[in-house]
Amino acid sequence: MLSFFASTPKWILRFIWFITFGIFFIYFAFNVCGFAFSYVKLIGLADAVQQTVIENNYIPEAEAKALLSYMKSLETPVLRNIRFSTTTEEQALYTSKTARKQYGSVITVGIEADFYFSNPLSVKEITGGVEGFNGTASTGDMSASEIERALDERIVSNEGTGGIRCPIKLEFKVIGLKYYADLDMG
Amino acid sequence: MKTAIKTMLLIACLPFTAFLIFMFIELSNISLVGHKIHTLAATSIQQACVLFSQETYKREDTRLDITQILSIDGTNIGISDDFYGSGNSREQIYQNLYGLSSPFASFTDLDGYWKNYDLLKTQYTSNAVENSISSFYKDALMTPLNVGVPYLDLETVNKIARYNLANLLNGGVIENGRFMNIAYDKSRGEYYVQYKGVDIFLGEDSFKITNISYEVVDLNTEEGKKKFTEYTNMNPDVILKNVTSSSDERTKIAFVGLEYKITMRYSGITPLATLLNNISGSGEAGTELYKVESFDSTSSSNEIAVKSGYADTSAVVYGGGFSGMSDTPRLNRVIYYIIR
Repeated sequence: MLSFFASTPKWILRFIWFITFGIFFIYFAFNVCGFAFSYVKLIGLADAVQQTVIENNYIPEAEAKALLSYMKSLETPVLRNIRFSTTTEEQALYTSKTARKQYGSVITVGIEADFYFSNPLSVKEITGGVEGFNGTASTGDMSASEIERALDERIVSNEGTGGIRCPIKLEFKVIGLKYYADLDMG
Repeated sequence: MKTAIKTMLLIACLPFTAFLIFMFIELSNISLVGHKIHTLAATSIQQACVLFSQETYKREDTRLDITQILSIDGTNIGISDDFYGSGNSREQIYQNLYGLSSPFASFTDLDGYWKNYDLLKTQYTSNAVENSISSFYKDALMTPLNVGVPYLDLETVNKIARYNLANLLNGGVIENGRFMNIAYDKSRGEYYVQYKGVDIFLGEDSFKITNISYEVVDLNTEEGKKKFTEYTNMNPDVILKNVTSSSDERTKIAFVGLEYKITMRYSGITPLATLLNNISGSGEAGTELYKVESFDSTSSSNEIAVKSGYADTSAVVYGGGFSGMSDTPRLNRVIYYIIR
């Protein structure tokens, strides 16, 4: 067997190419599937947001909290930072002063998220806890808790690495179908 | 020679690949949009019930004065916010909904459960005392909804639901008052709204609430509690904690199940659907439909429909009510209730 490898460098080169392209192909397939699954999940979420706005003409506080919690539960290593779209926050979220609208109003709502395409050539720094700095141990200049916080911040700041960021924005125009007696008809 | 054969094979494979891709897109679209349309239809009806129970005709202006629905060619599609009859006073509307000649007068499904509700109906009996109380209720324009009973007028709720659905499916694409996704189908003689590759017909008989049924649940019984949770997804203790006696009227909850039918036709989002429609429509006299393909707003002609040889592939689907659609993962029930 060894003699075969030694005697056929062309085959070895082919094998190396095969492995390389194999890795890229697996990553490609993973990205396609990951994106498709993530997109379907986001469509479901966008539907839930639309439904809330259709029924209330805006996103009330209780519903917003439930939706945010749902968004958090949908996040995966490749699908991160799911949030209401900027337009939704400005026009339809309960925190906006102009959120409540009358029956028949056209409202633009949606969600945004970041999908990260995995890339076999990308470098991701792996950070974790530091052994030996538990309790009240001190390094002199920084306390253990300060070091841990600093490490956490590094972890957070590194979340964006390890993939090619692809922002996804799903926005739709919907009609508010709730009548508010205290609001003038538009 | 070998290269030429390979090239020819590649060229031959291209349409097949395109067919597969289009087929995949169409199937994905159908599976997503089918449920979405049912959800929107159910939401339209649910919100119509809410709007009806808000009794907007008791405002100074009985109409809501919201956007009138004009199709893409600027014609009135016959669906408006005039839910209670144009020019009618609130007293006239009240009479139409709850007067002696209204469907409410002969409605008996909810009789005998709630005292105030029964008194509202005593105007149709000969008891003088009851009639005097009833007369007071009538003067004050009191309705079953005011005493916590979800009686719905089928005709009015239908009008509101159709208005809601047309608005929802159009998706807010309005230019100069024209709803850009609503067009006229000449062969069927009715308007339809184009929604993600599906044409949903808006005629009175195409989308409508076909039946309203009532069910009174008694929270004093285990079966009633189970039904209450099934219909509302709430714990019956929410109501029972405020109740001291089993004879308390609040232990009887009325539910309304609204069944609907919706007529739609798949027109597709890729050239594949158009191709298949054209193939299936060719040579079959009398089955061709007219479909709006473009609209020139500067044209003075009202003739905007372009003949494109489609076969009528429309289908009527049913949903809602207490049972919903048992053959789908999501039941899509349409149940309305009021909790006092």
